[in-house]
Amino acid sequence: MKQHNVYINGVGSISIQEEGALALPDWGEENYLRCIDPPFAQYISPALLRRMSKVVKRGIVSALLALKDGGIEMPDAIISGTGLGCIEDTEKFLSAMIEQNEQFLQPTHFIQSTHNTVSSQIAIMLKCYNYNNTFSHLGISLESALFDGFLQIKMGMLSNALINGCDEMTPDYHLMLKKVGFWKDTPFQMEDMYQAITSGTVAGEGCNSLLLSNEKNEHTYAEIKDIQLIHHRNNNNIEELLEDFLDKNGLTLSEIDAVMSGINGEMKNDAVYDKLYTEGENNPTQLIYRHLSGDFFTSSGFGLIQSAKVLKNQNIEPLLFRKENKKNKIRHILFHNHYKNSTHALILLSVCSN
Amino acid sequence: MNQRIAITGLGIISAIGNNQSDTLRSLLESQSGIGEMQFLDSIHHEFPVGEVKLSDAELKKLCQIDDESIIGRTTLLGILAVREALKEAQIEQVEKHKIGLISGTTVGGMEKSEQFYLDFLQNDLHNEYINIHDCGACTEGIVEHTGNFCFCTTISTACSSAANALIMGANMLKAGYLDIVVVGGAECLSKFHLNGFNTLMILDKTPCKPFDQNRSGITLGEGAGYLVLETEEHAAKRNVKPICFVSGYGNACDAYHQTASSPDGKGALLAMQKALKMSGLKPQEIDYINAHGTGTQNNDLSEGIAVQQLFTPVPPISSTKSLTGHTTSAAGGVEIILSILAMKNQFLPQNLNYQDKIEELNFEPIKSNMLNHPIQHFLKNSFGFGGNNSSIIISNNI
Repeated sequence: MKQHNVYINGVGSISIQEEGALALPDWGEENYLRCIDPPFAQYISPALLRRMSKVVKRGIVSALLALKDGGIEMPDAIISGTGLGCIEDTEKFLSAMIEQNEQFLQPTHFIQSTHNTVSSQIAIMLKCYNYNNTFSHLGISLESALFDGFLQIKMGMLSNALINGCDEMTPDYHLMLKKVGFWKDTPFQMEDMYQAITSGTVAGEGCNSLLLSNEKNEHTYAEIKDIQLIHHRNNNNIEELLEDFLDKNGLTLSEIDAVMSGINGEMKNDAVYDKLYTEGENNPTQLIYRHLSGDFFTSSGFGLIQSAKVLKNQNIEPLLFRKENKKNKIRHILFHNHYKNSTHALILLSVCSN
Repeated sequence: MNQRIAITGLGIISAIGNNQSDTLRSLLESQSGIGEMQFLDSIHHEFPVGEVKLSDAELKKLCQIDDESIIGRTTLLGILAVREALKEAQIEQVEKHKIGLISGTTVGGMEKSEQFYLDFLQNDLHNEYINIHDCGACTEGIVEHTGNFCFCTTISTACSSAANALIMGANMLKAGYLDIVVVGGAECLSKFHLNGFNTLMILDKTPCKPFDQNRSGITLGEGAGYLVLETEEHAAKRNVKPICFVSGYGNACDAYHQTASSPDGKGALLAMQKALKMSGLKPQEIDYINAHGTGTQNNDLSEGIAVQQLFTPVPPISSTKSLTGHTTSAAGGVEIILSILAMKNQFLPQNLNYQDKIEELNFEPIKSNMLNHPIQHFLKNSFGFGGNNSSIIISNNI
């Protein structure tokens, strides 16, 4: 089978960051920030806007931004990942159902509650009849979507694919996750990202889109060399699996210039990365992003976009550094995200010289 | 040819049986599993449902899981079906293989969240259920009780979730990322779904009547259906005889409306065309269509129009939702397996509760089981909210 190369040719993002250069947000008392929304009316007609929930609007705008950035109007596929789906509408319908004892309910919130609403609304807006899919698997929802698109482009089934990672963090869901220990209960400090000594992370939300293509052109940010999603319950051999992954791509860890990891200030989470990337010799430069995006099930989308920009611009914004170990040209970035150490996503991104 | 995708194991649980053999018996006898709700704690008893005839406690017992375990009904259904599929495929130790699980679900642990939601927000009585609310947690729960899969993800495209899981799984095998993959879906009944569909006024107060002129909506069901896929070459290496093969599949988007199908069935037609193209088969080579056939005015007309455009004449067609109810995210898995059981036993399963032809359509569904009717290739349609339409073509191994 002829294998095609896969490139990132466009990106779009709605996040807790203001437009322009990255800034460290003030995490406040609650360690909980919500998106800074764009003027939706510039992108979506008022008649449609009225019915859409926040996450759908954001998902559509980040998708449109990525398409525009990549110079494509009609993608071959729309594939989304979302950990929680349209949780605001789900909560509204659920609350009404409970409060009204299953009576006199309105359909609007139910209609918008399914996880595939974002993918579907993008398709309806673009009149895109092509491949359409949605993944919802905890902290690797976006990576699953990315992998689906990557695989099909590689196999020649698609020439491009629009990938979206969308999640919203409603106050109610934030509260629920607080109860199960997701969030830090002490004020966030930058030191937490360097050496975490407490549990919990900071809560954010966002929609991030990437346009993948088999064509390298003036829009290209980086090449996705390979993706591996590893489920390894009860196993402790991630080191070996990482080595296999790099070996399959003709590389060793010492040839990786930078690792963009899912470090989030939660000590158990971060220990996994520290073991892999700080204890050896000739360690890669360590890059981080969750202090800038907040943590949510698809926050890796934000990190992937930053990685793509680093490779394109050959410039690392200071706030992304955790530790600078190498100063050479950045050829390969290993993107590594794990969810509770049970599922790992390894994504190898490489520079494209035109 | 040896890169063909073989199906080597099936696992199913639905209103018409807790395993393959019970299911086949019900299917042969056209015994519907639809009736008054026994287990779902809803006020809406006016709607019949297709429940699995076991309580959560009985399901746990059957799974050999401690009654105190924090586990949702969707996960329990999934565990039983995945185990049955693995057993038939002769996979005893999952960790010995490069094997993945791709599961479809939509409501996830909702049937527990809807009981405890106010507690989640107001007190700490049921916090242990918060972690099992979402879709991914359901799949992880299945993995925890079925084996150490090296890849695992969840697809959530409403009622076509399981079919899309099959498509992703087949692609991963073709690209060599996995040797074996278990694909399908699981979904239990929930008040959330029942009330949601009720607000859309698409639930039938009598058992659903797909493709009938006077059809008046869906009967919700629940269940799980999983298939073990591997390349023909890999199955041969393991000395396992394929039950049948995945010949083609197509995924398209109707791009019309979040909950309604387009009047011309565009997305449905595209999905079927893509599947046919991949299979290399001509429309007249399809011996049977297992329709999405929900029983709503909108779906059956839209799907029927699309089928008519592609097939002249329309091959024997039925919606087995008239037996099981609509198992939503599991439907793709459950109904492909029902069709495979029919194929292996050489009969065409009937479309229950049918009386009058839909005026706008030129075909009628199968009115009674047609025995001694070999099937070489069948097409399965699976459509979901959001216009997520997928079609799968399965070919017999004889």
